[in-house]
Amino acid sequence: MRLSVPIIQLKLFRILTAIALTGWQCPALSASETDAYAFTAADIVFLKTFSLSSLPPPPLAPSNSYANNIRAAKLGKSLFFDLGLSKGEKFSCASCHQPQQYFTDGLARARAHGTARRSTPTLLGAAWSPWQYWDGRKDSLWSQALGPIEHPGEMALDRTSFAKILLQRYGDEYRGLFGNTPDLSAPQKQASPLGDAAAIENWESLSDRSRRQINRVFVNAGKALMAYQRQLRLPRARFDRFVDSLARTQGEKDARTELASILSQAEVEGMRLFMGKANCASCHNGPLFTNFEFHNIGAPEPDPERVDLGRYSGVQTLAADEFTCLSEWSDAGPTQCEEMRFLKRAGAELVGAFKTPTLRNVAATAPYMQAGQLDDLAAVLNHYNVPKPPLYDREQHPNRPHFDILPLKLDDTEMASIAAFLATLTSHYPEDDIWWNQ
Amino acid sequence: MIYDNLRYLSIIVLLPVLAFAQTSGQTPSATDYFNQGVETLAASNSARILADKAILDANKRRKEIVSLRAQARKAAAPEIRQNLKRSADRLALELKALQTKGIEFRDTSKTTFKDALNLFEQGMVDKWGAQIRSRNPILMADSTSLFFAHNTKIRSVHPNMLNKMGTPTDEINDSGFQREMSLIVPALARQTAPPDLDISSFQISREQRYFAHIEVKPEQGFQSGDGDALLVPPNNIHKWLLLLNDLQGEPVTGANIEIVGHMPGHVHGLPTQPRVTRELSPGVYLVEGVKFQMKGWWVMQFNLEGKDNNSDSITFNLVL
Repeated sequence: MRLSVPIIQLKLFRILTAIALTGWQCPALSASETDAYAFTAADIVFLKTFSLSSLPPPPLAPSNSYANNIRAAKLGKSLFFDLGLSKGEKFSCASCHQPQQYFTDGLARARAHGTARRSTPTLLGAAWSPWQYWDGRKDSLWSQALGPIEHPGEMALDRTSFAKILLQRYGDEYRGLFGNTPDLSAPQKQASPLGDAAAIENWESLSDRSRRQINRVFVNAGKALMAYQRQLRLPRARFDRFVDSLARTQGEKDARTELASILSQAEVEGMRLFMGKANCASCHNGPLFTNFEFHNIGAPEPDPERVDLGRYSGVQTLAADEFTCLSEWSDAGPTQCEEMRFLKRAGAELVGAFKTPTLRNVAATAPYMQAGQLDDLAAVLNHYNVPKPPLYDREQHPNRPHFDILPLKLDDTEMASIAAFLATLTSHYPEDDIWWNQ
Repeated sequence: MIYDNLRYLSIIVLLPVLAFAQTSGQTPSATDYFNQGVETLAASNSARILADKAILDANKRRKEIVSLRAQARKAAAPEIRQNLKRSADRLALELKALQTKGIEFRDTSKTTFKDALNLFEQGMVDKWGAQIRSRNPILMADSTSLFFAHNTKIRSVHPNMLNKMGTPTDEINDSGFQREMSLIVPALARQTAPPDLDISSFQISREQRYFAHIEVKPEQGFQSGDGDALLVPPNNIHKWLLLLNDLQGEPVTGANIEIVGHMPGHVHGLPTQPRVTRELSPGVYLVEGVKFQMKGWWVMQFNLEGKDNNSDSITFNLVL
């Protein structure tokens, strides 16, 4: 294993000091034990950027003027857990985003009225991301929340029925927040611009006024769901307690016992590898352990017959989306939607790239990758250690996909340490947090 | 020989600058600077052409020498062999002279090119006055949350390339890297740009039609660096100003401008697609949607199409 110069210097210095102080007696300290917990001031500055204590409130959301409205968040919470807002009253948002599973479902691919192509991502931290979904095909949480409602494989409810049910069940709350409720008695049939042929035909037969009224209710529901998700907070995990303790004590020697009671030596060594040799922190950085960017790490292609183009197709869908920050349904002025205005629509590196997921609670949210291709963390670490470049199919890919990782040359002990470290990112379930509990 | 005559070139090249110094009694105008710039640039171009020619000729000589020496080896009669050898030796001397000249001309060309750029820059600064906020290169505001970069050098690989890819820590050598840290963080290793890289915010276009300057457009809360230059806010979409004129110092209006950027060592492009959205005043273009999500060496290229339908491009190197 490669040792850094500073560590060697520190160790030497410490041993020499010990020798000097004890008059050539053999120093009784176990060097390897103290090393793992020895952090310099610069290390601590660096590590602090990963602590939840450094996480600012969610970024401003000019496209949703209800983003920080608590009443909207409460309505959003009701909608989130309501089975009645789906076809056959079978599924809610919480069916796949289960709080007990850190707002995931533990499945490789999401399952509701159908089976999705990709895995359910967690909602924790989503409020900080400029893009939603694995391919970033939505530019806000409110716009994202509208997707599953109409998706035939998810809640499978047409837009018109959804608006009607919502007003029936939450009329008072809706009026209190958004003003008058529209009279939706005229549209009789299931109608949606995104549904099957019949639903589309029905939608087109509606008056412009009706369509706009339905869209308004639909969009407001999305904004309430977003307000709810912005209230979701992560309790500090062991890792955060470790870094916060380190920051408080500035790595004093007296504090070692406290540090060692929070993270084991293997976990600390795993943390050093995570930031260092394994280079995980290159993309998994900040308090949410993600840079929210899109990368191709060459995860096994789930279906080689129908490759997933990831961000490449995501930007195309996004550019055509009816509910972006630039749309009439957004509360933002056009100059407040810069990510959309200057959306990168082309680039070879978009092909097969997926959004870096948060690593918060990662040990508790298997399986992994965009379609749950990898069963456990050992498989994930093996993939990073000896990666295979992405599949390239000339028939399906517009160009050879980029490949954003390098082999790591980690041994088994090192990989086990990293896995141990990742488990320190698991927050306890907050029993008393009203937003996590129905 | 032509090269002997052109030994004077280095003197000719210096003339404009010297002439300039002599007239320094009165303050030179922006136009003077541009005119001097054009002359100096012409001298630089001539020197480059001569350098290229000298090097080509030198290559020609080298081939001749090889051929003569081969003939000499094969020649049966000692007399012929001697003659061939002598010819080869004479050519070898010429080769050496040509190589020396090539190098001299190339150095002259480089130096005068820099002189020309400085003259254009001075002309531009005089001409545009307060519209140019700073002459310094564009740098990034420091931020502890953004010293990350993914350092993969090979992006598009065939499976048989894997064994040649190295590992992330290959990026790090022991020479002074993050010495104050015990953690070894490859993502903190700033991507190294060539030491002599020109990162000036003033550049001439490839086809030498235009001279341009870029700077960050002031917004509330932006930090300034040396020489009042506004710093790029890390990971934030912000605006730039592109000031564009021709080599006579006249603003270039109504140009079609396309912006492409990338990180040379990372093989990836910009995180956004910046665009010129408006021409604020003649020759002053507003560039919106600029964003840099990591430190390191970035290249920003402005592809221009002027009203005359001539296409050209201006490249700025930034080390953020």
